Amino acid sequence: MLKQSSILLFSFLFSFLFLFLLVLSPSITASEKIDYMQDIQPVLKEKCFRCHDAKKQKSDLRMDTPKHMRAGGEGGPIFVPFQPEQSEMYLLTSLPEYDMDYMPSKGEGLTQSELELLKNWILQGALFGDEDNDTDEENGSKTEHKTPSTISSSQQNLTVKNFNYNLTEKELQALEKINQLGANIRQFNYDESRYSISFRYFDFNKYTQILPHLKVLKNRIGKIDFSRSHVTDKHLAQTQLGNYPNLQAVDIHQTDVSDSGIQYLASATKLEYLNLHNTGTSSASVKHLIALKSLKKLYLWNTRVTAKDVDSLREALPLVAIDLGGL
Amino acid sequence: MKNLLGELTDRRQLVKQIAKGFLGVSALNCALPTKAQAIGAQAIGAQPTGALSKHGKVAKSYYSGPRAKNVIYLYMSGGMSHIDTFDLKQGREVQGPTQATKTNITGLYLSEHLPGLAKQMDKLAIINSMFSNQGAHEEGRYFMHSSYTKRGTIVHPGLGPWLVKYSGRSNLNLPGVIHIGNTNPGSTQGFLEQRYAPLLIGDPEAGLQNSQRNKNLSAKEFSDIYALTKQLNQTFAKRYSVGKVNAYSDMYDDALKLMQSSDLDAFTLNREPKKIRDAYGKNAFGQGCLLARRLVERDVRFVEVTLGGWDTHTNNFDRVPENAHILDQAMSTLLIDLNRRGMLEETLVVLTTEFGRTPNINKNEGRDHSPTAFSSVLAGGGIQGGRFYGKSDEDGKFVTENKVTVPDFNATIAYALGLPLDKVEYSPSGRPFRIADKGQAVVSLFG
Repeated sequence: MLKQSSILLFSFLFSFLFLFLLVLSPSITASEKIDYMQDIQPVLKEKCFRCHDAKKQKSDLRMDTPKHMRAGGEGGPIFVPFQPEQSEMYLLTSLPEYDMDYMPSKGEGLTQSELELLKNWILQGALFGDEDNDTDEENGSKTEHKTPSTISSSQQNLTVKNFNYNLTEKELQALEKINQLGANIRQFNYDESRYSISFRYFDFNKYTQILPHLKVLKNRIGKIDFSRSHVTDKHLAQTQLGNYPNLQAVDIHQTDVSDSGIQYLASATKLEYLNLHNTGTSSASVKHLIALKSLKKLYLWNTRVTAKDVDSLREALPLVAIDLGGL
Repeated sequence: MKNLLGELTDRRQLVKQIAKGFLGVSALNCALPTKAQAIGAQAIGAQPTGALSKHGKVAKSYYSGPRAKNVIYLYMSGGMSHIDTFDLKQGREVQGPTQATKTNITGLYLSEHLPGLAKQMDKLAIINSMFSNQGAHEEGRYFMHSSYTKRGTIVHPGLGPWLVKYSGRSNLNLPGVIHIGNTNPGSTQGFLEQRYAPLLIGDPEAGLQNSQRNKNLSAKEFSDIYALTKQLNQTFAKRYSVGKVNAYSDMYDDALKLMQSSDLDAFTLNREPKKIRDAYGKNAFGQGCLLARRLVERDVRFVEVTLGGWDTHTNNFDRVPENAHILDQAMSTLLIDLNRRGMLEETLVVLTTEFGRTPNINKNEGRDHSPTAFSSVLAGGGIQGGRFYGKSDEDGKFVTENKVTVPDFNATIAYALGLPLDKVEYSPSGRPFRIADKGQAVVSLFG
């Protein structure tokens, strides 16, 4: 009894599957491989060749051979394989007819089914059917086939250090928290692995709240921007800049920071850019600045640093470009 | 409340986008398949590994590569004569009476009319192979600002609105894009949302007009009226929560935020010492450049300042020196002023125009339009200065080396800003557009 019913169920399911396949079959034909010579070229011949063939090449475009199709026209390539929405020849022909850029500009436009065909042809990779020959003659497919083995052998000789630029879940959360607390996050110099954190519009009453999140991101922070903010010496003391191994730039310009804050910069040994313009920096800071051996650029306009201080800075750090303002 | 929520989601998206590296190098690499990858690989690709590897060497020089955050865009309206400014043709008949002057880079020369900029040559990358196919003012300006040719069916956005669209405002109290003097064709928000529209400051000295509360109204009365307006609008806003309606109320909120902000101070040029004001030049363009610096200091993303009067069909050799003097004083002071504040690192200064002028001197002692070769200048934001890029022929009529088309030039600006060149934005009619059309960034200018 049980057995019989299961057979019944099976046959029922089977017929269902069969029906299902039957229903699906039209869409299978729609995505069948389109042949350029057979399906596409006749359409182009009728609608496009009038202005784009051997006799006439409007906008420097010729469409009568695969070679010329690939070359494109004045405005560059006319199709991008697999991307009809990026392909000029599909875009322009599918515009509304009143559009200034509509193609063809003369004669009958493409019908809906012809457009569909063109779109699918591009979706399938815009193949002309001559690809194999091409690579054999021009690019030398033999060498191309060889390449993988060369790569794998050279891979054996290389010790590739794995490094992932993606943020960990923890780092992501920290970023979001920092943003929520009101600091501004940007990529540092468009380097995907590092960030620049700006405190310009930050409420420093929340500084102790944000510190633990900064610490989570310590490897990721390339620049800390305190410029034109309410940062004070106390905050610099709390930051412990020495804990940020990739910190390359610190901007403190136009703030109330003074020598007692500057001393905490000395631990940021990777620092290359330091902007102290319009701060209370004076002679007392020189010995801390000298500790910054990686420094490349130092901005000291409108500080209390004297000419003598600059001389000793230049002597200790001969490679640093020191800017003192002045028009 | 609704708006507040909207902003919060925006911020979250921002973090996500940053996290995904949306503005990052990888996107750029896809965008610039040929030139960029070849030349740019060592410039940008090498940096992260060098900086992150524990045993690795320390980078030789302070980061080279794109790093612009904001832009000051100086537009020379009318078509600046390249032959009399940045692309000298000494010893050729076409040069006319214009003489050369030494720059602070040995062997490089600029026009005698640019003595200030000559001293800042180490910061300048001068492109002498600019090429446009638009020879009329309106069309040329439109093309230069938007990378697309002007047509009747659509308005394309300018670089400023693109920048704010893709990378947001840093200071929510001020508009992201501000134009000083003039809003040029092709520089508006175009088909992008209204909130990316530039704010126009006609006269830099007059500052921002109508930004003060009417004296007859107390602060309390004002906020009561505003609250009442919001209340009355509530049902309508709820029923028609569509882009254009929201854009209008967003604009209203932004204006209020600006009125109450201390950043309004940026527009008051009197806060600057007289010495600095004089150094920029006692004219609208000079003061406009000073205002631009004050705005960028407060995180405005894109400031465009326009200097007109370059359409020298007549008396070229009297008018170019006059105009060049205004430009020279303002731009050289701007570069010094940005640099000593440490701002030139992340501020890209652009100087451009719609086209150049003919080598041939016409019977009115003038030069006519010539878009087939002209000059533009880039400085700051990661650009390596002290050099010329590209060449025009011996008379300055056609480009002979390293042609930079208008879309290429704009792609270079976008590249400096880390914007995605390959990202497609659809206009309301469903047409795809990109920041710089199909332009390719001149990546070698950054290294």
